[in-house]
Amino acid sequence: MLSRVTNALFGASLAIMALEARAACEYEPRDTSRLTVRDGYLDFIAPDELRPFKAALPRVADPALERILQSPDTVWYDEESMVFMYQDSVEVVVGARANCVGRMVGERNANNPAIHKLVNYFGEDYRFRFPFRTVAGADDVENIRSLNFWSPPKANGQTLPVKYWKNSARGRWHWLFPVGTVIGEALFQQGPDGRWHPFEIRTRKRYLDGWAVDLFRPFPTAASLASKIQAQRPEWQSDSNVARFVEHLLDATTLESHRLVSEAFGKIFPPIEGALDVLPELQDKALLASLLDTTTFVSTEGAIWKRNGAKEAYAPASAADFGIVPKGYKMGLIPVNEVSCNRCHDQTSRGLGALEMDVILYGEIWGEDRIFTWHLFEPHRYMFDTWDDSDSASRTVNPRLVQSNLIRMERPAAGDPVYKSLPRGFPDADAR
Amino acid sequence: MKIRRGGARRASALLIAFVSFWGAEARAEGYTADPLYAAAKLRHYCKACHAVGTMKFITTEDDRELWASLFTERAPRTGKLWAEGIVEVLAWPSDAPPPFDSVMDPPSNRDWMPKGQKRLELAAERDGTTVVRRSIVDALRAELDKTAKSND
Repeated sequence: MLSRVTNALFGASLAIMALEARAACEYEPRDTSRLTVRDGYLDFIAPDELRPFKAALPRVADPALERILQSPDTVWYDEESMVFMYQDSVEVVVGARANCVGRMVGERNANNPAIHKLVNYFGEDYRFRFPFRTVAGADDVENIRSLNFWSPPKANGQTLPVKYWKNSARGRWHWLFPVGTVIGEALFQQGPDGRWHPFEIRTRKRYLDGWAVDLFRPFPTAASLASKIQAQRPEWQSDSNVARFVEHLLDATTLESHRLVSEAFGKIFPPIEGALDVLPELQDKALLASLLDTTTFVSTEGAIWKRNGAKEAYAPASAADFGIVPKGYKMGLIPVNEVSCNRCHDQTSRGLGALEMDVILYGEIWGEDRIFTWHLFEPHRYMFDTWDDSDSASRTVNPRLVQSNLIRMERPAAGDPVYKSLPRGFPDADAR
Repeated sequence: MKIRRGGARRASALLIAFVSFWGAEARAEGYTADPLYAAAKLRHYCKACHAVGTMKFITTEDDRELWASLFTERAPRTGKLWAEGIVEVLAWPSDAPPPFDSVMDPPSNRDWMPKGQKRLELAAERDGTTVVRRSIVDALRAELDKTAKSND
């Protein structure tokens, strides 16, 4: 009797898991008919949906970035509106795959070990596994909303398009951003008041030979946060919670050793050793909200949040769901500089098949030209399974991007001063 | 031979005192290979790779201490003084930035300072007519020469 109940429960839980899996990888159509498309601009997200986040954007101590954040020509998108995806350019079935497809295919082929190994590279949440899963340092963060922005450069008043091409009819689609392009992320966390508060702005700016990076936070060092609190709360010592928080900030010995390891992608992503500074909860949420909302964000390139001998943290961490950063945030381990960020961004478009020789691995790591999130394909239901280009037009150019003149089919010539392919440390997916 | 910890600390103190003196003197003479100037520039440009792997030599916010540490602390991988290692990766064949499609020493896969925007910025920066990269290298070499002579 007991075993029958257990079996029934097991069966039911499997069915629920299967349903959840399907729900986790299904296309949800979006009505784009009312969204703006004009020369040099298009909406991915409805203005009403975007408005509260744009209104909450911080001031930044960088006039160029400030202009981008406020510009009506800056294009905003997110995971849902863009449909984050990767390309599968390895015959015999080629196409566009939403990031959830890899896991789904792996699960669906439990009897085929070579294909089932896809689950080693795509996690239970139907995303690439760490470090390609999500916004860097946020794998363990739940309280986060990430908005992406794209600022195309102009020359002589004309927006410079992303140029794209294919080397073969069914091969990988390549694209290059013009010099001057800025791609960024604005990160928000939700406060107990229900409002979204910004805590970080990240940027990548294309130059001819790469992407220069920067990252803006309200407080680059623990000492700067302590000073601000002391200034805003002159009686800070009389409040034991605030006092404890400030004392923690000023205490160099609070750094805890930590290690980031990717079991899935260990062959191309060495472990990162470092330290985290996990701040205690600051109970005065109004103070926190004020610190996040009213402080001008500054560049943290090369900044060290806190140092204790050889131990360094490059950002705060938090014990509280709502803090200077949200709980689970681990950018303390990742210094802000171009070389550091390239450890992941160098890997866009690398074929998964090269990572394990005895396995049938479909597809390439998401992204192109060292940008993960952006692509030029039209989101549709065929992205949510392994449809082929030939019978479903799986990889189809987004007509709204064409209409906006933000993309152009043209392979840049060698020596072009605005478009240049960046070197990659792995074979091109087309070559296999 | 390893320097004992106390010895390293004394050496650092002497160097800091020397750097303070030399820095003032160098500025007075208008000489661009000023150690403090070089330390500040190193701090700026070496943000390009700080703390990636074992590349971690900016261990203080004080430029005098930073400069002194370059002649007492060693890179964990090569065992060389940081000053020696930095001179190697900044002693480019010309004032143009080494191209991104090659490395400094292909057999060992060692490269010049990291490929990136900071390499290009360093190549472009001039202080008047003086190439800033050369000022850094000159200041490091001068200090290394002095240290070598004092050890003779």
